[in-house]
Amino acid sequence: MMTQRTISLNENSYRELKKLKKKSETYSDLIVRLCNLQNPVLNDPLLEFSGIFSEDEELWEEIENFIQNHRQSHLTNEDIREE
Amino acid sequence: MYIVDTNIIIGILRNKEEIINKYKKISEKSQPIYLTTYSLSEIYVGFYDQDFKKKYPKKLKLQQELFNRMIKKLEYQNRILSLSVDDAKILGNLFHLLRVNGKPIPIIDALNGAIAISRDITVITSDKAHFSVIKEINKQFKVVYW
Repeated sequence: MMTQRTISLNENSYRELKKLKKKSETYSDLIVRLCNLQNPVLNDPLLEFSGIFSEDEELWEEIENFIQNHRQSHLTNEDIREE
Repeated sequence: MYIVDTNIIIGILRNKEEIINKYKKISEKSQPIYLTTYSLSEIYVGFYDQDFKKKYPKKLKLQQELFNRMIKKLEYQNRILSLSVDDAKILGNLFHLLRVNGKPIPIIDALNGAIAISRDITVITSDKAHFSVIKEINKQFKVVYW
C-alpha cells in the first residue's frame, strides 16, 4: 500500500482544486495531472504525436526523398546578373 | 532555444528512436523548441502530391488530419516561427553572401538559417551538407547535427 501524506489547504485553494477535479478522479490523481501539465516532455505536441507516420515505412521513405528532391530543386540563386 | 528542421520533425513522427531520445533530452531541460512554417510547408508538399494521394489515399488523409491537430497545438504554444522584418534583413544578407561565394543552398534552408541567426537560435538538422555552408558564411550561425 502506498504511503499517505496529509497536506493542508486553505479554503480558496480547496475550492479551486474541487472545480478541476473530475468525477472519476481522486485528489491525488488530480494533483499528478496538474503537475504533468507543467512537464515539458508530456506537454509537447511533437512527442504526443510521435509515431503518427510510423505505420507506413515505405510511404514516408518515399515522401522524405520527395521532400529532399523538392529542396534541391529550389536553390538560392547562383548568379542572377545578365552578362 | 532550438529550431528543429524538417528531417527531425519527420524523424519524430516516424518514431525514430534515436531522434526521439535526443529530442526528449533537450525538451526535459525546458528549452524552447520551435518549428518554422517553411518546414511545415515541405511536409504539406508531400500530403498534396497527386502520386502519393493516389497511392495511399486513406492513410495520407488520416495522417494529414493528425498532423493538422499537432500543428494547432504547437501554434497555440507559440512554437511556430515565420520570417519577421528583422529576419528578412539577415536573409537578404545571407542570399547575397551565398551568391558572391558561389554557394547555392536550398531556399528553405536559407529561410530557416536566417531566422536562427537573427534570433540566436540553434538549428537541429541531419542536413550537414547545406547548413555547414551557412556556418561557413556566417560564424554566428549555431547548428547541431543529429
